Amino acid sequence: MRESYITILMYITFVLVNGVIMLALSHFFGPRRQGRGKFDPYECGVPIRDEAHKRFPVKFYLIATLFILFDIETVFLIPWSVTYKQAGVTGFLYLLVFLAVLTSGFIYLWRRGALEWD
Amino acid sequence: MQFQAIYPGSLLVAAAILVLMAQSFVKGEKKLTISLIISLIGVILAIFFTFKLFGVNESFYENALRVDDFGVFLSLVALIGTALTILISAGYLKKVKSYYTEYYALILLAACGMVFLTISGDLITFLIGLEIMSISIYILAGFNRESKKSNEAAMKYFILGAFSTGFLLFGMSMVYGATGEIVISEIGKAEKSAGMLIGLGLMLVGFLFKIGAVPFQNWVPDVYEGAPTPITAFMAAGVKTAGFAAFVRIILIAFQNCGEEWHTILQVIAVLSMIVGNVVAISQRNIKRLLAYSSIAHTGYMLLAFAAAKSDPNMASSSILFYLFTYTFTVIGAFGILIYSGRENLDDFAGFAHQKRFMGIAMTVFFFSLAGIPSTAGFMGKLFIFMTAIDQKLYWASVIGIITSMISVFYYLRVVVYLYMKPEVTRAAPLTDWNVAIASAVSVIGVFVLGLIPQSVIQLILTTYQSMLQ
Repeated sequence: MRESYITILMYITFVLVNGVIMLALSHFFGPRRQGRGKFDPYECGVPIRDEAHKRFPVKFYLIATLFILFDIETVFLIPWSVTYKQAGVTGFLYLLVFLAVLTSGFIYLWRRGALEWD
Repeated sequence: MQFQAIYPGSLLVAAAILVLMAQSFVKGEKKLTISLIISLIGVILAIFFTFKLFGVNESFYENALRVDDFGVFLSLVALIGTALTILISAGYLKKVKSYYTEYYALILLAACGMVFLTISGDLITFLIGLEIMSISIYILAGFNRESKKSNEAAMKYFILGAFSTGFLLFGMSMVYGATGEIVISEIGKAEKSAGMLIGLGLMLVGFLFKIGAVPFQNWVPDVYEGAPTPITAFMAAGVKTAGFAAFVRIILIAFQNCGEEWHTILQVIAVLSMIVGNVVAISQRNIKRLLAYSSIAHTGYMLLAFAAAKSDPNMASSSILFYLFTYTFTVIGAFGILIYSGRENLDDFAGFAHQKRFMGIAMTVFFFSLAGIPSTAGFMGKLFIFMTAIDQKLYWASVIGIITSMISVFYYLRVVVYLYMKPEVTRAAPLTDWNVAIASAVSVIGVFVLGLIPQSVIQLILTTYQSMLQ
């Protein structure tokens, strides 16, 4: 039982040693040039224009939250659509109940103005 | 007929959806009344269908739900708490002039979570019920968006609550790893193992956080103070009831072979909770904070009975059930009067009983019940608990419990002294609010019925432990 773990141990050791060797080699033998470009987020590419930490409207969070609603819908609809023959009428009714609950949430969002950007 | 098990929960969800629809399509002040009526009808129907579940004692949906008298009784207690909370909320929303009826929908959803928590048969249902309940309560705690304290309360509760759920989940995965089972009754058949014990420890952290026991009590005063008052009542009554329901079921059934371990832990925690709660409450001038510390102490009393469960689980779970029932009436009544009066500080209550005679009497009754004065429900509850503890030879813990209980009489009676014997503060008498008045009247009746003629309830409770084992 315990012997079968030897391979895993060897694997882990190999990965660690391999990583250390690679880093050490590039540390000792790699060329090194300091410059302003070193401090940019992307060394190669378009020159940056401003900071990455920007404020953006809280509305995006709302959109992200609304996305979950439709995400969940997919999560339940796809398994049903794959097995709808086996699920039969009962499965269909269950799904209708689920969709009714989901739709009522959607109606609520709509009426409360969550879908309007301004 | 497996559907009967989910009737109460589904009704609550349906009522919540109707409330949201009312919020979407009805304009103006009318929607407050409509939502109040819808949610009350929903809860009362749920209570009715829960009543019909007594004596069913079966598992449904591949053991996901375990409908037995124990769970059904605690469902009922939680739902009664919800109904009373909805009544006192109506008064509160009118007072703060809030038209956000999502409030009622969230309360109903939290109640749905509680119902599933009390009748959960496996760890998955348990976790989902807990999360439905907790997430609704997190939002409700921060419902006063303008108030900094309310925001602070919601944030603290959310972060700490999420953290404790993490512990709970880790514990559950440990237990699953050790036994390969998620059904609570099947876990109980497994042998004691290291994985089980680690799981027990981690799950205890999650449970003790939810019910607010020392050393996980730090969130209680801040959250209780900052949250809207009816939600504080809901947390003290409903969340605690549902939390204890799952706690008792999982510890007594799933961890029945680890009795030696949790017996000692719970005894220590019970003693600490009683001491911390009762001693710190003395210095509180804000009544919401005072009731928060007193709720820690009351958790301690219930855990004391729990510690006795190793040798006599029947009496222990019965006394916890009875105590939760009495505590629901008492604490919701007390918070109801805080809403009615619109005051929070002890000094503001000086002479309140002369302005509003009946409310003064009701408040006296509730604080007597919290203190455990004979003829009130609180007395019967404490009697039951200390009887159980002394029967199981937990002498030291019981003595400390009784001493701290005597200390608590001081700060409870001080409120009554302020009500009657201090010179009146010149604050306008509050307007009469019938919703809160009805809730208080029901609570007063509940306190006296449970204090004077508790036989029929006790008869019912004494069979609940057996129903869990069947």
